[in-house]
Parts: sequence; structure tokens; C-alpha cells
Amino acid sequence: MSAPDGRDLRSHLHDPALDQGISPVGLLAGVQARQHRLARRRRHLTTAAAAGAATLVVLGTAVFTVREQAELVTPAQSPTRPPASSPAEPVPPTTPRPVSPPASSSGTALPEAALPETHAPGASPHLVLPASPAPATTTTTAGPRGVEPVPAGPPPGRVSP
Amino acid sequence: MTSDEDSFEAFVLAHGPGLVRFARRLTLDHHRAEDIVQDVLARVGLSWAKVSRADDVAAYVHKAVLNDFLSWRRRFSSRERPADLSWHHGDPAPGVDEAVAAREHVRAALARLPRVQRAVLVLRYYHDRPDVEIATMLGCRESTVRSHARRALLALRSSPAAPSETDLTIEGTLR
Repeated sequence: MSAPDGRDLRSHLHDPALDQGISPVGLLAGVQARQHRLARRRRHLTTAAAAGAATLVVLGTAVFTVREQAELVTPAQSPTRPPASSPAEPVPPTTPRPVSPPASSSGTALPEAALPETHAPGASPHLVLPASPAPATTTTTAGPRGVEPVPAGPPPGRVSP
Repeated sequence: MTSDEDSFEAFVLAHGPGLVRFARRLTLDHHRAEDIVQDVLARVGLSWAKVSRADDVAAYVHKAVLNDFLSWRRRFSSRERPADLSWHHGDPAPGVDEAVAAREHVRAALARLPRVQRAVLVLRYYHDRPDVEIATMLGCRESTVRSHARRALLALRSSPAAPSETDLTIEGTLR
């Protein structure tokens, strides 16, 4: 027998014997049966996926809750220590803050360096000496800016009797 | 019953037999051909509202049948199975027409081809599709289609005159 060529192939593929026994109605019935089965399987898969997702959510919530509670428990044998950071009350200042000079007429505050020094030289800058009343003769001390130094003695122009 | 179901049933009744004929040429097996076509049509029917909006629904379903035939799932799910004995009768008895013997010979040679090559031959010599269209259907280049066809024809020409009994009893996916 000779080997098949293109003509043989074409005649074989157009063989009417290959077209026999096809029932459209039977095919439709088979398709509908498979459709029902496929739809049912898809429904089951959807239900299973939803159940799996719900289980995962519940499990995740439970694990999260348990871990959160485990972090709050302290071991019974360990010495009790004060908490590292307790809501402490604000520490009252031991030294009064230097009284700031009256604000200038322009309303701007003076810089820190311009403030008069109120502590003794060599002492800690935090140690503030009590303010002593200045003697009358030492009125040459420069006062706050804008205040004229008042000379000691009677005001000029007045002659005492 | 909705109009979608009506139109789907009408489509199956009108195009179903043609799809089965096409699948029979591809699979060389009556039962497997119907299995593929019913599977594809069932899946298409579940999304018929979307599929029916395609430009050429028949071409779409033809391509779906071809893809299902070529799919790895189908290849591995049914690589070997009992042959359909009604299709061939072994060596022709003395006196049987030479044409019948030749037909059996061609069928046996086709059964030994790889699936893609067989699909190319069916689309080329049964559907008379141009190579460009076959390339589009298979998702490859036109030169690849020509290469498949050339190799398939070469294999058919160089096939042994009388196929062995093993080849005849195994479904045509042997390579």
C-alpha cells in the first residue's frame, strides 16, 4: 500500500462516515446535564471558599486576642518593679524662674542674653541669689532699657531753705 | 425560560453537530469528541450572556473546542484509554475495497501525529482555512503552522504501510 498523501488525507477527512450518528437533541441534553453539574460544583466551591474565608477570619481574630492578652500577663515569680514610665506628676521647679523684665513698648520680648545676670559669678547658673534692694548710691546700674537713671539728691531747680 | 437560554439552545442545535464533526476529526474518537464538545458548550452556556456578545460566536466556540483538545488537562487526563473498536477493524479482509484500506491507513497514520500537527491538518484540509487564520487560532506564527503541516505530511508519507496492532489499540496521541 502506498503512503498517504494530501489527496488521501483530504478524502479521509471528508469521509461521510465520520459525520454519522450525531444527534443535536442528544447533544443538547448532554450539554444541559453537564451545565447543571458544573453549576452545582461552582456553587459548592463558592460556599466552601466563603466558609474557608470565614474560618480564617475567626481564627485570626482569636489568635490576635490571645496574643494581646498574653502580653498583659506578668510572671508570678518576677519581682515587681515600678513601671518604667509612670504617669508622674510634673516636678515643681526648685528655683523660681527669673522674672522677666517688662516687655518693651514694641511688645517684643528681650533675648535671653540681654537679661541681667542675677546669680553670683562662679556659682551655678541655676543658683539664684535673693534679690537685694539696691542702695540709693548704686542707682547707676543700668536699668531696663528705656528707663532713665534717677540721680540721687534733690531734684534740680529746687533750693532747699 | 429566559431568552438567553433560548438562544443558547438554538445555538447548540444549529452548531453542535458541526462542532462534533470537527472534534471527531481532531480526536479520531466519537466518544471523546462528544465529551469535549459537551464540556465546552456547558462552560460556554454558563457564561452565555457574555459569550453571545462576541462578533462570531461560532468561531469562538470552535476555538474553544480546539483549545480544549490541545489543553494539558485533557492530554494528561486521558492519555491512554481503550480504543474505539468500531473505528477500525485491523487489516482489511481480502476483497475489501482498496479505498477502505487506504482510509484506515490514513486514519492510523493521523493517530500517530502530535495533536498540534493533527489540528493543523484538520484545519487546513477539512476546514480549508488559510495558514494565517490557523496561526491565529493556534496562537502561533504562520511559519510555525507551515512547519507543523510540512512535518505532519512528511510523517504521513513516511508512515509504515501497515500499522502495528499496538498503534491501533491506543488512542491517537502517540508521538
